[in-house]
Amino acid sequence: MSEKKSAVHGPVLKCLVFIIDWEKTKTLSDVLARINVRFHYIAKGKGTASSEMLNVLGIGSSEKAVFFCLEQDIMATLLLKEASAALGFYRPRAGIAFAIPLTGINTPVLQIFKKSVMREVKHFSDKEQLFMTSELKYELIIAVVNQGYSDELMAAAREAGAGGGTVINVRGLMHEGPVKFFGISVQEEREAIMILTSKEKKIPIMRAIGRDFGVNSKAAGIVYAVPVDSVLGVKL
Amino acid sequence: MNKVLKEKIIEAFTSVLPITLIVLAASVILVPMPSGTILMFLTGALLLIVGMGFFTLGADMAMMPIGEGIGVQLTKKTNLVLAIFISFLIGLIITIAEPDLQVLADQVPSIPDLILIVTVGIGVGLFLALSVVRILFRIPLPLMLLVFYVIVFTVSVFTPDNFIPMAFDSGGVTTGPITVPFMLSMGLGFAAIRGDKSSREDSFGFVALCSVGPILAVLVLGAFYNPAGPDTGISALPGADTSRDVVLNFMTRLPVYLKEVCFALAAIIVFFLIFQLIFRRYQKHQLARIAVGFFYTLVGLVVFLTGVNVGFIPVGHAFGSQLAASSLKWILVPLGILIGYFIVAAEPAVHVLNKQVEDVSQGAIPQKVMNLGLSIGMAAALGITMVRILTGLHIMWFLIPGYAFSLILTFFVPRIFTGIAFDSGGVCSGPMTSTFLLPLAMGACEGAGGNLMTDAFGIVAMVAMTPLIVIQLIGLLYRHKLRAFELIEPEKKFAGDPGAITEYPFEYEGARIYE
Repeated sequence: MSEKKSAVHGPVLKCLVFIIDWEKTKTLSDVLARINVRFHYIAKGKGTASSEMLNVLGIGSSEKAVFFCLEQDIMATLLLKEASAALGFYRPRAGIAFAIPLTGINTPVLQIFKKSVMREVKHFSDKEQLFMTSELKYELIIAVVNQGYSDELMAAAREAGAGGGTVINVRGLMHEGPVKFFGISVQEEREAIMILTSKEKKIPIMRAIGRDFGVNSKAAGIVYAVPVDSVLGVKL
Repeated sequence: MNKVLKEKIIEAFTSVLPITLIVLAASVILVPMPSGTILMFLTGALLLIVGMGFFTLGADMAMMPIGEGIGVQLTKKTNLVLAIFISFLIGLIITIAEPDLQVLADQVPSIPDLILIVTVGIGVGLFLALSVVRILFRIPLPLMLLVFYVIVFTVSVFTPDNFIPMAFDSGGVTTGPITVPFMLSMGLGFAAIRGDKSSREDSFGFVALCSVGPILAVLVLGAFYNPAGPDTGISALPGADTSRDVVLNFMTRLPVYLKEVCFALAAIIVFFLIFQLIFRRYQKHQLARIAVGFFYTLVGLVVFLTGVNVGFIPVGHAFGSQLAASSLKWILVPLGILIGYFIVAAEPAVHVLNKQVEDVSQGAIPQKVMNLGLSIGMAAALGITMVRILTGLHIMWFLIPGYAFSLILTFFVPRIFTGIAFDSGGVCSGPMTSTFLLPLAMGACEGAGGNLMTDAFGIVAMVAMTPLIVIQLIGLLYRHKLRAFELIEPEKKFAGDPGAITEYPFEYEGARIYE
């Protein structure tokens, strides 16, 4: 592993994901600006209700902001620490954060990080450890289903042991490309549900989703999992 | 406490509280009022808070998903005739159902109510269909607005003077708490499944175009019917001496609004059921949510309308008439500005719009900015109206330059802001305007001895016009901000092969299959 790593030119990047309350968007944006995170994107997501009753009454789910940031792995800890201080990830329900390791990046982007790496690493000692796990103990399950099935899907996932999930509305690009309707191109509506879970619960949850919402069902869902590390704000 | 519930309560509370405090303070300092009236007002304010909370929750759960669903399914069907026909039908149904329009019909003299309502409904239906056609054929919104407002002003030449303020009022009034969430989310639906560049800015502009329909409809009707005389529209104000009177006043009016809102929602529910039977868009959970959402909307609107109609009309009217008749009448202008600034938050549809704007812009245009813009717009509108009432200036002196300026702005402002601005014109002028501001203006007009038809009416028109300018100006600022941002991003220019890829190693343990 170590000699392979040395073959990589430039810093190693990670994709850091924050899922927080929508009202806290500004707080996190400020943190990112202060630490000078160059690439971050925000999507609006929807939290999922903790019970069916609350969901039907309309007071179960709240709006979430999903941040995707690109940062060097050595900076990730600092970033998570600052964000944790600002948002209080140690409190329950304050939000979650995790990092997805990357397996490739277009080189020109790396140059930007190369330039700044020396400057920023100085004020950060890598001995500092946070209350987060660095090994790959957690996984992120992502299920993409047709519009309207996220509620049912979450109910099934919860039964199989999922703690919670976040839904993002996405558009599906079909193999044949979009349908044209005069001046506009029409795409499929899909919902992407992200569920952070421990390794042990991954398979039961994925099975539950696959069984009822798989490719052959009306939901026409696909489900996959990616490894994540540096997890904050979860008790699983 | 439940987080969502808490948010809704706080939102409703902070929306209604400022205007309540202002009126209370003014009633102590400027216009002493009988305690019965004030008690009614306070009860009304309380009902407003409850109603607003339920309504916004209900709109989120029922009206928005349905509107969006219809937009999406119509786009998916890719059938032009169907899209036009359904849009027309929706426009007609929801307009006829809109409680605000009933209020307007009561106030417009000499035209039979039914003729007015159907004509306005057809007007809105046609323009809703036109909005869809506009998106499909990619006709720029500014061009459409320019053409139709030129037509509006041309027709207004042939309409009796008395009718003009009312015609412009009807444009703002018809887009009320039922129509707005529906149309806004329909626009969102049309944009939701599109991949082209203009999809975001096309989410807005439905309300904008649909506000033109009623103006044209009433102007045209006005050319045929001759208004006999003003119809004040304010029924005898119920007096209240004891706390029991207060409750009775509200209780007697409650069934009236219950019936109105039930009728309005029933029309939408029937339409929705047919839609669901054909497209089967919603799953079990969602249907339950929508049903509960409809219930919330019903409760919210009934409570809101009762509160505002019984509690606010007498106070507004008394305020206007007493101040205008006193030696302090010029204080109406700053007071109007103050009231305008804070009352906009109490319009239920405003929250729906602001949220939509924040969603579509993914937070780039925050609700705060929209609130500020709309508050400034509303303040300006009330300031202008009070000046008009006190001086008797013709409404065209404001309408023509106002619309001319906002139409010119459309060519310089980012498209999405044009849509939002012209939408917000219709959104701002909801039930708060017609039940508090209109009586205020009427009272002021009576007190100052002006012409009710030409001076007091027209307040809604002003409320619907000023946001066009203010929001677009914000858009202009926003554009400069974007430019400044682009300039300080020199890092974007990469050196070397742009296609180069760096790979990181990643080790798999090997795949297992779980049967």
